[in-house]
Amino acid sequence: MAGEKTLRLTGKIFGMGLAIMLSLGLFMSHAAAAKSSAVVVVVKLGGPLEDLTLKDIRSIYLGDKLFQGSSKIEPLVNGDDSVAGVFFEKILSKSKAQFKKVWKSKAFVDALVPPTQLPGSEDVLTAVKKGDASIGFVSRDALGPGDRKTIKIIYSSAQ
Amino acid sequence: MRKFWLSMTGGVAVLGFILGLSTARADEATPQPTPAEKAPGSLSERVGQLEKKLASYEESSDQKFKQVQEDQLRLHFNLYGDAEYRVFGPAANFPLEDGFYLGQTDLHIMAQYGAHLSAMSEDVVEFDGQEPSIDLERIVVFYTLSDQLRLGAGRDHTAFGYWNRTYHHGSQFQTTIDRPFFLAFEDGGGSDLPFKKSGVVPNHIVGAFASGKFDLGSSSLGYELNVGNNGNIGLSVDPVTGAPVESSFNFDPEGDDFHSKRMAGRLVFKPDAGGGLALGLASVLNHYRVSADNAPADPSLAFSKLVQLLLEGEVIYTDENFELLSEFYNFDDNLGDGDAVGSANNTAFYVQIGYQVTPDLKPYFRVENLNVDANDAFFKAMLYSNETVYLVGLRYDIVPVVSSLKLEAHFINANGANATEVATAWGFGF
Repeated sequence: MAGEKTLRLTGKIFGMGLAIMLSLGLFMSHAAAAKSSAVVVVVKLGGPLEDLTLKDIRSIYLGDKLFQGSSKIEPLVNGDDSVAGVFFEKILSKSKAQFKKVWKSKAFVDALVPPTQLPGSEDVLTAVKKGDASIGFVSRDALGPGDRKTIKIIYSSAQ
Repeated sequence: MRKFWLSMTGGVAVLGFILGLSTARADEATPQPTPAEKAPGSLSERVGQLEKKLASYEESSDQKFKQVQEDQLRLHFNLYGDAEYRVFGPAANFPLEDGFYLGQTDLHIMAQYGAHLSAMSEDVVEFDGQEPSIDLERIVVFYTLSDQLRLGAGRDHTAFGYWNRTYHHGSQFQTTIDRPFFLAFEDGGGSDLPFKKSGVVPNHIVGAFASGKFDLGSSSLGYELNVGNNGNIGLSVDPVTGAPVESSFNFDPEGDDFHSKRMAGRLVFKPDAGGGLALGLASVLNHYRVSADNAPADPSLAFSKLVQLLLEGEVIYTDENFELLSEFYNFDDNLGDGDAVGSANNTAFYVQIGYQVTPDLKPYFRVENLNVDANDAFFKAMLYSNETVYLVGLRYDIVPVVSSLKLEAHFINANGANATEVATAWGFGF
């Protein structure tokens, strides 16, 4: 009788342990997934755009800021919709359609050429590494260990 | 058996935890160098040589990239247009006429060469009667020195107000089908309808331009300056009766009749640079003469110089859902210094409100008013008297930004006579 009680108690403890462990595992996986969806704004390390603020980033991508000192800023748009969606929503506070509308209007009124769109994060990183005054946004996951030597993250959507 | 099950359960739990932990840390893991890589000798020398080669390749690649970026020519083409159906008639006889109309077909081309030089042209095809005509509406070359100074030359929209500087010939951009009537284009937009005539403000200017924007902490101040030719008032007069039939602004693309040039300036202050509120002031100094095809019966219409100072104030608020556009104008034709003077008490305004109720549906309302001195030489020559228009409409975006369907009703009171127009337009912009 006592053995059966002990066995039942042990079963309960293991059951609770199992639930806690699985929950913890799921939480960690979710945390990792959340981290992977973060979008970071990147510029060339040592370039003229290192000290840009969030206000500057918004002004650049909405066509209100074209130069940093004497450098013509080259904004790049990431063609990966999942990355661009986070950038538009969390950093520019606009939908993709609204972003498009802003640039259609800028082109029509001020003859401003819209930002160049590149296929994905790797292409954006390559262009940012090469262009002193280029600025782009990529998924944090796309950054490799070696990228930190040439690229500076100036803003993260996870901030 | 039960013990075995419990041990298995515990094992699965531990495995779940380890898996979760390993997933979380997977992206942080960095490859460790192998013993062979750590060891000195021929392998490390070869790696060193390869690194040097890679650095040399990257340097040459960077130089080529910079050269291409600095020299590259970028061309962009956009096409705008619309098709309209309008029903119009005076209060006592509505509908007097109805029909389909081709709006303006607008080809907008812009080019950027390197960091500073850019150009833009806007060519509009429109029908005036049976014959299509092509108007070079804008052609401007720009040199941008910085965010604070951009220089330009050519033909552009005059810097006198929000509407004229924001909306051009592609009506897809503006919420409504038409511009406020007193801001209508010089040729009336190419429509044959009796009330679709030139506005009372010269929308375009041929000359030189400067513009820029200054950051004032969280606020910003933008400016625009124009200096250019004055243009003239083209008056069509009945050769038999001498009565004026039609009037419009003509621009002078090749020289100016006056030594004093048209000058325009506009300031726009945004209390929050990233916000939707903008407050603006503008002024234009114009010199007008009338160019009539026949002698008018009223000799006061055939003046050779009238100086006008236009003052404008604007309060604009736009965000993702709401728009409030309002502009107020005063025309001072009483400055002297010419063979014709008018009144200083001529005013005009419009207020437009729109609200995006769903992502593709936007109802809007606008009131437009022109209140002028009946004896003012300028407004007599422009064939304008007091007029008020109430406009209600609904815009449906078939594809946001790209194509829209607009339906409007205009209730017009022109010098005491009432008329109504119902209009619909299907517009596009690619």
